Amino acid sequence: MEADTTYMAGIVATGFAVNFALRALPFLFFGARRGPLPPWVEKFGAFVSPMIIGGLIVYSFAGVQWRTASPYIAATLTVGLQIWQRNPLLSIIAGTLAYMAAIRLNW
Amino acid sequence: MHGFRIFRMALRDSLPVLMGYTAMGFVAGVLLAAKGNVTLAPLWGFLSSALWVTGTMSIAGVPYIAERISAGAFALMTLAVNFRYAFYGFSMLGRWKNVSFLHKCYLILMLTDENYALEVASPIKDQKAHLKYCTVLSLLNHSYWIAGVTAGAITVSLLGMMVDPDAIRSWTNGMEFAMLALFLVIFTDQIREVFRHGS
Repeated sequence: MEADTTYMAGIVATGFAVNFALRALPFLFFGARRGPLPPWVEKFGAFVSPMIIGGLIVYSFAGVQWRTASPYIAATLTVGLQIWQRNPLLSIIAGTLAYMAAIRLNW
Repeated sequence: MHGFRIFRMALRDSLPVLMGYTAMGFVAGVLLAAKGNVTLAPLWGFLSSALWVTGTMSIAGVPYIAERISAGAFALMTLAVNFRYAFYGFSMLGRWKNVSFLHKCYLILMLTDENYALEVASPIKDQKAHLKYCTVLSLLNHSYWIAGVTAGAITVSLLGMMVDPDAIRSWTNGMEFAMLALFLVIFTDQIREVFRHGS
């Protein structure tokens, strides 16, 4: 029990340190700088965001049942609704409900 | 822009995350308590969700915690799995330039996939208003994640004998799609912007 507590406290502290350090990295390099940021940093920041979101989409498919048709049906519905209605909450809720229904129907 | 309007915008934008984080957090909490081989799982679930705010490690790390992986190996694994976080700040450098130290630390802590995506996609141009939006959004999403993980761990630890956690998990099964849907919606809007500006 005692050893357990010490071990878990160490793991929680380690996880906190590494995750926070990763997120803080750009701020450590460029945060202290006075005056405007170098133009390439601004450009990189703007350019990197659609790339990251695109990567997150691919990566998120690993977290759902990507070997079945369900996530692709639900994803098509989500994107289609978003193009048509431009209502994020509607697209997301409809897509999620479609996915939850589809996996229960074993699609 | 009025504070209340910003709060309403953040609350509305956080609703998909509410579905995703509570469902995914619940799974992570159940996993930690059921498979983590730790005493006081709710406490560790609460602390790790509050301080890490990362679904990837809260779920993928559990089998390694159960085997008592060394802190050094756990650090290396986190580094490898979550390296993407090192890029998120680049989009925020300019917008968070004049934020006080502790406030900025909290915003940095909350640079999760979903929070980052929403903060970048927000149409708010005014820097002060955007900062308020980021802060409220972070507090909301943080609380959803902590609540999900802690509830999952408590459910297994205390109610495990009365309620089958697998039954609860089976009801919410599939809700994790909300995260993928959120990214799809933001990506769709980003592509639309590119076409509109013709670049």
